[in-house]
Amino acid sequence: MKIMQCPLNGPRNISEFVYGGEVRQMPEPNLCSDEEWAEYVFFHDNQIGLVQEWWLHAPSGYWFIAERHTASDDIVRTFDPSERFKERVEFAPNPEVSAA
Amino acid sequence: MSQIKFDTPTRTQFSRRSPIYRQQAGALFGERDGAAIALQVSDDESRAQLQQGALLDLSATFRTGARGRAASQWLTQQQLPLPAQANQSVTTGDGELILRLGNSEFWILGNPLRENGALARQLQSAPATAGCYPLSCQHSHSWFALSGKCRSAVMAKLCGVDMRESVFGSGALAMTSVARVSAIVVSHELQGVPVFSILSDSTSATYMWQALLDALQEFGGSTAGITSLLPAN
Amino acid sequence: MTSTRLPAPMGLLIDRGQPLTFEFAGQHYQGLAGDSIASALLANQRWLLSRSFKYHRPRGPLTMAGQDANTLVQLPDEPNVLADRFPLTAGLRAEGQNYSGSLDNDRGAALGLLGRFLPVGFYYRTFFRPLGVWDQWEKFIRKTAGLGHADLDFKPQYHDKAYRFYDVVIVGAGPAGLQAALTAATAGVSVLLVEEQSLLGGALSYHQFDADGERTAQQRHALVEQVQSTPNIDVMLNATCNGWFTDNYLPVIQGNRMHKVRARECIVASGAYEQHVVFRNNDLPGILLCSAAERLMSWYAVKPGQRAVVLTGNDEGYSTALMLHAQGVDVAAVVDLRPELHSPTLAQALAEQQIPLMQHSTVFEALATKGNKHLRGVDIRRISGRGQVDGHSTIIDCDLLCMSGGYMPAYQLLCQAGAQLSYSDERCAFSLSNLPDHLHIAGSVNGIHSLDKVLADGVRAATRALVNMGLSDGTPETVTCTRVVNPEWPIFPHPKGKEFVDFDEDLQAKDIVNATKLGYRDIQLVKRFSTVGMGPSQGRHSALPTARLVADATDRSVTETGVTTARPPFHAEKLAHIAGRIFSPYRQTAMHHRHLEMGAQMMPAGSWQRPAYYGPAAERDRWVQEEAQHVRSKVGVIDVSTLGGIEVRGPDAAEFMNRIYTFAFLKQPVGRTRYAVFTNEQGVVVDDGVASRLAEDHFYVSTTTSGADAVYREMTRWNAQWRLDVDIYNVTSAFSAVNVAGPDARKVMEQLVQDVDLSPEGFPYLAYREGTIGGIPARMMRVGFVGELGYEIHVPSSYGEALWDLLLEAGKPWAIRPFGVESQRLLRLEKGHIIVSQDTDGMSHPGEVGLEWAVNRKKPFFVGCRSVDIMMALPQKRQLVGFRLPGDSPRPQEGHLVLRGDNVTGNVTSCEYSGTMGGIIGMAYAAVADATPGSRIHIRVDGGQTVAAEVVSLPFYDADNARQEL
Repeated sequence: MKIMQCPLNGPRNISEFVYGGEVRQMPEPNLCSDEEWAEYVFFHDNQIGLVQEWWLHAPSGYWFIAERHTASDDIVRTFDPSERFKERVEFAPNPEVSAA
Repeated sequence: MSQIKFDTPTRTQFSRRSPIYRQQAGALFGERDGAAIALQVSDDESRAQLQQGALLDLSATFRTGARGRAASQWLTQQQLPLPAQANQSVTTGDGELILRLGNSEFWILGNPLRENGALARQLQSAPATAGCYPLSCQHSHSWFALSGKCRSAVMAKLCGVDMRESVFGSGALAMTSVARVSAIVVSHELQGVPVFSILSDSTSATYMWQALLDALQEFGGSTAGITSLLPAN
Repeated sequence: MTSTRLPAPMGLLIDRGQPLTFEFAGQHYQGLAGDSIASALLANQRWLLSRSFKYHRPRGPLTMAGQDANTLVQLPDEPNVLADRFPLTAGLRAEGQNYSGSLDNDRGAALGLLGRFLPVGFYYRTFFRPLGVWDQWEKFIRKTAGLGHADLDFKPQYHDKAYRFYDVVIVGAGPAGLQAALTAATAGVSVLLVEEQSLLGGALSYHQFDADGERTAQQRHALVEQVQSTPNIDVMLNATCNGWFTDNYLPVIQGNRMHKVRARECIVASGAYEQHVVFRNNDLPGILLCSAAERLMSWYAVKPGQRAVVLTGNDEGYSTALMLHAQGVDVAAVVDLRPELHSPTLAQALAEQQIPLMQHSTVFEALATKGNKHLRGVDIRRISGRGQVDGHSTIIDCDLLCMSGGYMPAYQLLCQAGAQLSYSDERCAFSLSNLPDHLHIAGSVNGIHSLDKVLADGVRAATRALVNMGLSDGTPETVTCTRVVNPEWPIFPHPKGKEFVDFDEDLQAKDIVNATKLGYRDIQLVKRFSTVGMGPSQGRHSALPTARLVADATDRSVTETGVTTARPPFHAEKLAHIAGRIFSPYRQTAMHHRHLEMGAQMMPAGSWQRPAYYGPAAERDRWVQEEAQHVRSKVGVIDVSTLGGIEVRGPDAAEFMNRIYTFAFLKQPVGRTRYAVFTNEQGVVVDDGVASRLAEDHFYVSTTTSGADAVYREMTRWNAQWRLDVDIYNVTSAFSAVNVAGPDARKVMEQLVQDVDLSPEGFPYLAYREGTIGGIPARMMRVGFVGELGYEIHVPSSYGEALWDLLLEAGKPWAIRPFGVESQRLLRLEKGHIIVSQDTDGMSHPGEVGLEWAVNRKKPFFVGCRSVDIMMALPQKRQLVGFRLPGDSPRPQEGHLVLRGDNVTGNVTSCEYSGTMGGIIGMAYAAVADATPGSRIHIRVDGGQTVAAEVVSLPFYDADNARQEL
């Protein structure tokens, strides 16, 4: 069984972790086109190379980000999400409502 | 301490109950922190049995916790020692156990051998400031203690984290999976007896108790009450 | 029968003072403690142990190490037991396998004569024409093809698993493994040595590396002594490392336990399998590998025969001959496959013992006693070319033939780890390369065969492991060994066949060649077509000759041809080992035992156990109707502790709720509840609950029973991105909850609650209050899920059982009774309330299920908002509707299809008979055109019948919701 390095709990069996999908940049939901939104929700790059993924250490409820190579399955790096998400996220108002 | 045979509790005794008290039918129970705790499970239990391997239910003992960015500050104000690093524990001079889960979550577990009323009153409510949130670990989790030289071997049958004495000595803490249930395992001493405290989901407590007991039986271990922790007379 | 044994030092494993009586194939024998079943039988000159799979040929031991299928026997409670591994016990009763009649007189042996009608790929090529012919043959084939029989009355034994952790794990305790363990241990690391046999030493325990074996014995003694006296080396004997998994995760099976061993560094010193020579009748009892004869003598002090011939392609066979001679066996000849003499010293030693040496020769055919029961002689020929012999034959009478066709590295674990096998034409052997980090290889599996070099290789591998751990800065020297131990082509086809490549599957040389002629060039296809390597020994002896034959027949190199993929398990393992002790966690509420005491039928809800209804299952409908009626007319109580509970606290609590759920929460008043719908990014309804605002900065929101963990995880993942100042806390297990519902609910509550104004004005519908109930701190909500006056009460879960007791006691004057989940489902159906994931599916957006009212599109964002916008702007395809049917109509079930002509337009999601409504009611997805009340939808029920149900507006019961707001 593979071992994953949790930034909070150290090396653990992969069975303690839950995959949470690729880390993707959400387009501004009230401003993007339908196509851009559909692309974000339904399509994935699925390319060979390093990807950033959400992983949860289930026993501690801790989410972190792992950089994994999709071909070799090597986990190159794991880190706390605050390294990537530094700022409080705000959403633009719904333009239809603002216009009304 | 008043003592009661608590085979099937009457509907009025002890409104607060351990989730697994039925697993100890026939034990002699007493009151601790307003709830029933097993004092003695069998007639011949002693510290020798703790050496051999014993499983104790400490769920009734007082515990509380707080988390958030201001949690450590609040606990320091309460004159409580804090583990220096994430995922460690310390025992206070009064026999309370302080857990640090991750960076900013703290649990305070009372001393199972005495009333913790004063501590409970002191920690009754976290300050209403942002960044310090009280926790319901008294109710969300059961608390079992596993003693004996075999305790690492018992845990190895249930858990994928190396808990041998050399790597998981007193003070160590792991949030991990035990018999496929999320649990916190703490290595510490109770009255000088090295134990693992296992805190896990109270609604899976019966399952966890039976899984631990089954794993323990290979080594001749059994359940015990808290009086076994008292120094021999 | 009694047996005589060779004198010491032969017999490392046996206890001569402890005779044991046992039974095989109906006969009584005597063996010794320490014997395997097979060694005890051979000591009694009993060679025939089993019948082969296809032709039912008599078979005896081949390896004496558990590496072949010839020794599979039947025990009373276990089939397919390896007789050369299974320890003998007093009173043991074993039988042969795979025969009809008796093991000694097997009627099935006639199949051997029909060999040409059982060609390779027999199963694939026959029985499919004419149609139906298989049905007639199947019975016969199943009977013929099986091996042992399972005892269906077996008593399960306790099997379990345990983790173990080591710095260095060494697989194989031969000279390389022992030396590697000692070297690694000097650095103070924890070492585990895993050995499949019951003693340490590997080849040192049976093979004589020097002329008289003295140095070998000393070497073994010294190594074993040191290993045993080193405290940081743990030894597991009779233990099989059955696989290699990522990051050195090694399942080691010993007894009834599977040890899940995790190693920082792993050294595989698994040795090499001695190979047989392929010639006619090479499977007769009395023919075994040189190492098997050595094991028989060294381990068990059993003299393998009276008159022996040794057939060898290397110098090791000379040692075997000398050892046989020293133990009183008359060695009639050593037949060497090689054209040149390699060791004049050994040849000289043979000459001194007057053992004739025949070079560049082979056994072309083994001659058998009647019924192929045992070897009686060999036909020896000069080799005239690759696989060819000349016509002059020399017949030698013998009852024992020891053979060594070279060695094949025990590559399985290493190839599982991704190592590459390549074949050297010079050494005529496979070697391994391309190992992953932290996995090392040492000894004969690494192609090193001289004892000194094997030991040096152990040091080298251990040093590399220590370097990896930062405990040594030495640069270990490469160990090279140029000794060639494999003959180039130990395969001699015979015009009459029966030169076996694979003993398990009775495959002859021509079978492999024929498979390639039929177009199966790839080794993987040859395996699947011919079944080579599929038997219990998994190609340990057939892989090398097969690779050579296929390469030869397809004009490719042996490296190009390769061997088939090695996958775990390495050895056959019992399902019990994999299953172990089952960990299937379950969850019970604090009131669980009260439900049981009151006669509840429990049903699973995820890992929870919940009461379905209270009463014997035979009258399920009765209890459900009674309980529902009771709630409508009096008062009932249901345990809803399984609902998820999540606290959202902090300055951004309202903002967070506003982003997660579809409704608006910023202005939700403190002390009020609000329905909360959670859509995912695709805009699909995935959960719902009730959000109570306890304070400006504090929400308490419930989730569905099955959704709690997922919702909590999604919430925390979103906030890992949003970075709002909020704490999200899953308190599902911290609270027990009940719902007290019915017209008399307030009267019951008044008995217990003194500190909260329970009047309709003081505690109105959808309000939230905190207080105490019988002294227990409680959170209370006025909810309407079942459509009656109702209170949901949440208390810390250690008080859950006491709360239940209090309510049932206080409710006695109003005949309070518990109701179960099934009754609750009927009650909410009558109210038209959906259950997410029962009445919704993976496509349901809020508009389809009548939840438009719960979606706020004035706020900037909620998860899935954009998808909901897009989908609700599209023409709607289906709608969840309520329908009615008369009480005597066939009752649709959940999942039954809703049809419009021939088209499926939807399906039934909920359906139940309602006593209150006096008929069958349900909800179903239907075409939008059929969704208007008064329309009819056509539902295909069990048996293919279609019923026409009337679409009605929801709710079915109490349309103006007066009752819940009392």
